[in-house]
Amino acid sequence: MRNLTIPCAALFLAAGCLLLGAREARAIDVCGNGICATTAVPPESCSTCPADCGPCPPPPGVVTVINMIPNAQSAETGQDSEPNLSVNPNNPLQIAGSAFTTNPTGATTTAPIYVSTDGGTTWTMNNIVPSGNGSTGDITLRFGGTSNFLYTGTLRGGSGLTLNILRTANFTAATTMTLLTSRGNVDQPFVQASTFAGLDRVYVGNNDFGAASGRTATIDRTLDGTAATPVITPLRLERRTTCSQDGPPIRPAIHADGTVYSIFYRFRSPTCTSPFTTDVVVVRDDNG
Amino acid sequence: MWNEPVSASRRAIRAGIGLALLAAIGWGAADASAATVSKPVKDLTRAAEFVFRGTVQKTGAANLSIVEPNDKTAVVRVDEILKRSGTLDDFTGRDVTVFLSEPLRAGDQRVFFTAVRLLGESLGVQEVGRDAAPAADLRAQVQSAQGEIVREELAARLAAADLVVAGRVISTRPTYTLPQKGPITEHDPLWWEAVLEVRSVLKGTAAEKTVTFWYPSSADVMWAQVPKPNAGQEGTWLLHRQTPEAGAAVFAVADPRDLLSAAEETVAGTVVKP
Repeated sequence: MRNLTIPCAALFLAAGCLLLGAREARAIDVCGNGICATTAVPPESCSTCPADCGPCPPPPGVVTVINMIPNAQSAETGQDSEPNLSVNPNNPLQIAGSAFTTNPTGATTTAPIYVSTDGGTTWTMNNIVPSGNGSTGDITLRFGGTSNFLYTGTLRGGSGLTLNILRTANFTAATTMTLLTSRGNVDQPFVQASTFAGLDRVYVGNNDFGAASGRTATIDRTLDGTAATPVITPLRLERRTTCSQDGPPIRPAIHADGTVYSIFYRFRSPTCTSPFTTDVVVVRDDNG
Repeated sequence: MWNEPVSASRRAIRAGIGLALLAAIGWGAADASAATVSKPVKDLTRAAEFVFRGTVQKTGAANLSIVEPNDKTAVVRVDEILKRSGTLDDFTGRDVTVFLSEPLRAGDQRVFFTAVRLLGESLGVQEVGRDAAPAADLRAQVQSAQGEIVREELAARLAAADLVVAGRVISTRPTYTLPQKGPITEHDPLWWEAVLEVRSVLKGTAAEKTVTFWYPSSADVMWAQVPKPNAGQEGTWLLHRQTPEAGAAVFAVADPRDLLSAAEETVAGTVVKP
């Protein structure tokens, strides 16, 4: 009988490996288990298993169109007009959206925003905006720069031209947004926000019919939006007496260096009747 | 003359209210009308927007990508819907994520009283409480409770109105002439007035054979859902004394529910306090 000579070490190693059931290390490769196993055989990837690896980014120059209405409400037929969008500068996968959408549950105390945590691929309605009838009049929103706070300006649903400036530190949580300030007789709140020296500056353009001499173009501003009780000050942009008011849209914009701009229509004398004689006015604050 | 058609969502809501009212007046299932509703079940039904009989599929799980699963979340199959508020989709046979008030195990079956927290790939619903009664009992109680709640809410709306009157709209016309006075905003209600030939008065007094009331003709988001009367239209209207413009008070409608549905009209006479 011929003896088979097998290196003892190799034999021991093979036996040990067989005993332990171990093989060469490999990732768990079941699609849907939450692990993107790129070293598995075959490897998982965004194209073969987006559930684990996330969606594949589109090729350069390709636009992906996503329906923000969540799948749970795919049969809805609401107005959903005047959409607004904000990407969190601190985490671009987080996106908040708003529209004239009514709370689909029938509840009247809150209205929804749209939230995404995967760069806009999937959307969820989160009913956290205070309301009186389940919707809002106007609504816009913005993330702060690095704070992750989300700020919203609304005309409170069921309360006519009542401005609400709101915030939340977690836009995916179920907690209703915190009211920072409220004022009546105001139109078209439009929010901008950014972080400077660790503090959120928030600017809410609005048309304030309560302003004297028809100087209605206004920005409500706070220089510390994340403070426990932010100080919010209405700043009048209009310097001249108008025919009775400025035009409805007052739109601020923030430069990265802290300069703040705003643009609005001034309705000129002698009368505020259509067709309006209008100036387009741009103002600038170098100090924010 | 501008006319706002009733949206599909409002039709869906009215249909749901109609079914509940029919059950309340005994035209629904015999066991529903006979069910004695316990206060806890009625309170739960009032607080819950989505009540369903379901089977726990998996605990410590979620089918919403925005939800981090934990020991208080579970994926539950909706076997039967007992209450569905607003314009929520029909989730029968589908899985939803439930934020549990107390732990459950896979395979557990029960009736879930929930508030809707999230609407994403599926629903995320928060339990608002539990009742230990058998599912068959709860089904009947929830249906009866819905009927009672709808009657109570209708009674409250009727009580808040200054005049509740049924009749036929004769004519409509704008209340303003151009150029308009007042702030210029897209949210202007653009008040029109309607003249109603009175058929019957459920609440209040109408001294004349006709009643005039204002309504917002605007399609702006603030006013789009408020009903817009058409000449020849029959209906029962909830009118409120208001001063929409500086000057004398007028009757007006300003709420989407100020025109009763056919089912509500049937019940209104039994719940209104003249």
